[in-house]
Amino acid sequence: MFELYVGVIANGLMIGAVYALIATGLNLIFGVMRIVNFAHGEIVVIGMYAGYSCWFWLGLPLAVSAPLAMLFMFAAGYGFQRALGNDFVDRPQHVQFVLYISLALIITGLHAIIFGPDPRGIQSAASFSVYRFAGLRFDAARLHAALAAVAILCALWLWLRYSLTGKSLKAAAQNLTGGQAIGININHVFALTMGIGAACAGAAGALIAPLFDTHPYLAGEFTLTAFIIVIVGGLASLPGALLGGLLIGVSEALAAVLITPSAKSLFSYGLLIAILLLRPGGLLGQKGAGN
Amino acid sequence: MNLLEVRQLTRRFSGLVAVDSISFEIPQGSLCALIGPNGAGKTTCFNMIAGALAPSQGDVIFEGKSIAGLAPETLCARGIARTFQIVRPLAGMSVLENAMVGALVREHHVRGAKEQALIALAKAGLEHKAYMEASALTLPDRKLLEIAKALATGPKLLLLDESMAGLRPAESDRICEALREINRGGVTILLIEHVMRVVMSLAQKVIVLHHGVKIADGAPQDVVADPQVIASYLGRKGHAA
Amino acid sequence: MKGALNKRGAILAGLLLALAAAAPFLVNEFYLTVLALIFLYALVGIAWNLMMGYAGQLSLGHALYFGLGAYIVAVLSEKFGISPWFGMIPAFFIAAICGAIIGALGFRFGVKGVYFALLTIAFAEFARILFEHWDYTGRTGGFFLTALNEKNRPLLSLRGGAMFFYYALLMTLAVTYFAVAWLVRGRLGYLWRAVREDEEAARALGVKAFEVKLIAVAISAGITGVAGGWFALMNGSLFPDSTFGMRLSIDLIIAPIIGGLGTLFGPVLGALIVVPLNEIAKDLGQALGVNGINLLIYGVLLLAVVLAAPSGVWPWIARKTGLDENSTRERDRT
Repeated sequence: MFELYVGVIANGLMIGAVYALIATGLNLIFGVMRIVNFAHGEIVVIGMYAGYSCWFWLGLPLAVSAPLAMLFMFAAGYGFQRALGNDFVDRPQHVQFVLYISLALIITGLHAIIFGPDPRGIQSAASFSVYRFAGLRFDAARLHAALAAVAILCALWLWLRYSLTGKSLKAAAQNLTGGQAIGININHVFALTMGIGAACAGAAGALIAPLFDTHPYLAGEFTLTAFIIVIVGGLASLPGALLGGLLIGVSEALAAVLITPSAKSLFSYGLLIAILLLRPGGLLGQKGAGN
Repeated sequence: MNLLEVRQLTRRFSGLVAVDSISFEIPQGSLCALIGPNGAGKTTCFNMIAGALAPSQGDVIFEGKSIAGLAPETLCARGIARTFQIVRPLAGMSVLENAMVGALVREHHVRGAKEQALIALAKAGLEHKAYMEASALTLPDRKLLEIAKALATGPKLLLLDESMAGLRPAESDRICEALREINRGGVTILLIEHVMRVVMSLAQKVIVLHHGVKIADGAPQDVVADPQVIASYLGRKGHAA
Repeated sequence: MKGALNKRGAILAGLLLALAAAAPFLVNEFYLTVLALIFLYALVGIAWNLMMGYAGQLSLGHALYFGLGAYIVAVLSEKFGISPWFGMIPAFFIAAICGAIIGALGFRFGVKGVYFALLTIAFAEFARILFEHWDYTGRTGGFFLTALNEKNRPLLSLRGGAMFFYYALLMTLAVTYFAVAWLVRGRLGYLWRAVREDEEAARALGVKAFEVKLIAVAISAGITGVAGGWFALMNGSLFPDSTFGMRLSIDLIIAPIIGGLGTLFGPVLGALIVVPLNEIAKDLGQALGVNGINLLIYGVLLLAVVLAAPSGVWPWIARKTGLDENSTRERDRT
């Protein structure tokens, strides 16, 4: 019994780490630019298909496909933001919402057309190997994915904290006009933010690809989960995104075992409602910062 | 009879005391002015009287009843209307429709509200522009619209926040004339103003604030001669700093 | 009012209505079914537009009210033998009350913009998961209305063939349209617009913003509940995922967004564009053996609208053809 729960929680933590990576991408996009990116889940799925395709057609291992997905999504995100996204930053939220929903629909539609609606899974030797530790068994693929996610998050956090560009991103997040006044090139910074956010999502997708079957309609769930984590953890709080991701990962895993798999999001939504009403700044964010 | 009484009104913003124990009275039917340097606490006072802010301490008495902490819409129904320093016309609606929103406080039907709105617009001199888009008005007209909107609510007390800011003398004279008319019609007016010319010509009573504290209170000519007022606000020649 | 019909537009609308009344004698059953679906989407579009366009609240969980209305009408009819004529009443009011509660929670706690949208999603998803596990309503297996037989009297059971639903939904749409138009032209309409433009300024003018927004939200939810009820009657079967799910929430709002927010005719035009397009896309997908074409077409359409005509197709058309009140104003002035 005990082993079951420890195993479930461990699984939850591992998937939670990857969720945290997805959410961090959204946290940057929403936190810095206040853009309501409803296509975030779709970017994750692009990453998943990228990971799948790399394996299926090129036989590349995860260690290669994940960085590839990251680079590709970074370029795509940066390009999109400069070409189109920046024009929409000042528009009302419901207009932004329409833009990103339309992108989400286009991406999902293309996925369905190109890859078909049937789930596609990666079957390789790696997907079956297991680590044994203290009498417990851990899925190797999951552990690798979790470790990679944490590594990326750490690297990102260090870059934001200590590099000049990273600091200007944080500055822009806190005070846009002030940032422009001291010469930060907003167009570039925004595009960079979108690129990094997309890269996080794409990388996470590639990391998840060996764990779940990929199909076009997974995206919606990822988008919602990412938003829940961002709000629960706290906007503009990277530790919050990590905490939120782990919390949601574990709660979903436990709910799947204790109730039923389809009820796994009950706790997440309940938490979201509670946070929105009572502590909109999130668990680790500023109190009352719900705007 | 005092329409409005402010008693030891105080407002703190996390440690900073913006308004410190201010008391004054506004007699029924009068036209009074609240003056003082920027940051003296004038708009904060207004916001507390109009319900946009709750006082930290003290009370506001309107028609003999305490109104501190009541919501703006409740106070408007009781007869207190206010304008905003930075005018806020309702974009996408015509001048007439803007005024009608105010009139709908008392009138429950659109037709009656339209009549009241037209009357209010006429008092502000805007009746010829009733069907123009509010966003297409010039600044002086927007200031008049701001007044007309408040007037359409049928107020007993009209709070005007710097209606003359940014206007040329001829334009502000127009508004002064309108205000005199409105006051003659029985509406008590309390205005925040920096333009001393306007204050001297309009106000029957002047209250001076400085650093959140009341430093003078009385007839215009007395206040202007008060040495403390001159030192803190007017300067030697009797002009606002 | 933006996009409201002036005299020329009103005459055109009258002609359209006459045409619509005659339609069953001009087109075959398949088209009648599609048109009934258009009316249904237009109905929800008008309802959603009330909340977004007038109360300024973005709701991404409108499927909640749709699903509630659908299950209420279906369960009352199937398990309690209550005629849908009466079943529609609790469908309206329970949906309206839910809307009011969510709205009140949001307003009281200052939840705005995308946060409010997420709040609505959370409630809708909650309902979906609950219904997926509720034995009484058939869980994921679905809830079914008894099949119709020859003894069925459409006017009693509110279920019939394509022509019956066509007229039923046309009338519901027309009644709702004119009722909302009347509301919007009246006192509430002014208050709604004032609150949407500048809530603080409106409150300073005496507008009880909280109440006014709540009324918009409740009416919006109630109408959507009734639409859900009709959906149950038309479909005969209900599944939690397709009646409470996010796919539906998004589907429902694409039409009013494309058609034009803050206008009355926008949602109708939007439905006229979106529903047939969806049918064509589905057919195309089936013919080519490819899945997902309708999503692609939806997405491209939305993208085109947000880039070229962000306030919607109807305001764009109205401007170009001089059918709306703004054009009348311009002509009166010159």
